Amino acid sequence: MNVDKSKITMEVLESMRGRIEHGLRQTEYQNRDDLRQDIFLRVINVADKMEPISFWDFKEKQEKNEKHQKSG
Amino acid sequence: MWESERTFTSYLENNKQFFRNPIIKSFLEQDQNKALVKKAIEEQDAASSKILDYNFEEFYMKVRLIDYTDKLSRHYVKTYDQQKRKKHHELTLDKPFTDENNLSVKDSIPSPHLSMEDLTSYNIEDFLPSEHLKNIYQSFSNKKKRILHLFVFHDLTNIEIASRLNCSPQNVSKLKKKSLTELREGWEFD
Repeated sequence: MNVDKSKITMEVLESMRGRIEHGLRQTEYQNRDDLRQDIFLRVINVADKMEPISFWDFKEKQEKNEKHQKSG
Repeated sequence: MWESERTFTSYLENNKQFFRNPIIKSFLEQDQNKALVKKAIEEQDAASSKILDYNFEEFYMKVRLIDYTDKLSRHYVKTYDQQKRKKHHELTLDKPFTDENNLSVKDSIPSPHLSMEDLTSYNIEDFLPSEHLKNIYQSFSNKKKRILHLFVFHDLTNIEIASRLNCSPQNVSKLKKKSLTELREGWEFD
């Protein structure tokens, strides 16, 4: 079972719409459409490159980090 | 039944630190996920473990993307106008010096500028709009950089940063304040 990256990306962009629009107010009005597209594109690219991490892998990583912090 | 509950309880107890992680806590707020962990641990059920992995992959990917989108909406937007203006200037600088050679004005500028693609990274330096500010940031010690990173991208408090870096919160506060002041002064200078 592979995660559906496109579906997740769309859900995130939809749920973050308000936050993005709020952020866009910090830029000049004529740049907002470009910036919106730019942000969408960046999120899509990052999602595409993102490696899914399973529950047990995440646990293993956390434990390694803890050990590393204790020894360091 | 009591025996299996004890197994799950003792597992939670033995992995206290892990189950205190905010991401895990949030993930297990959904009863379905909690039930899957319990089943995977107590019954060593491979199918539950697989579904658990899948649910977490989806959940964690969403968390990371939401975090990234939030960072873009908060920090990237602030430098966008400046980047765009800079780009516009670059286009006007494309005009050749003379008709005899193909050199343009921009070719005479020695330092390479930051590529827009690089802004996808989680690096404070990438969000700084001018070379001057970047130079100031580069002059910071690793500790200062780490403190700023944890403060800006992880929203950690001085106490949380101090515990990660094994130093006092007062020291974190002092270094953070100093770094931000230096950047602010650099910004005003720009």
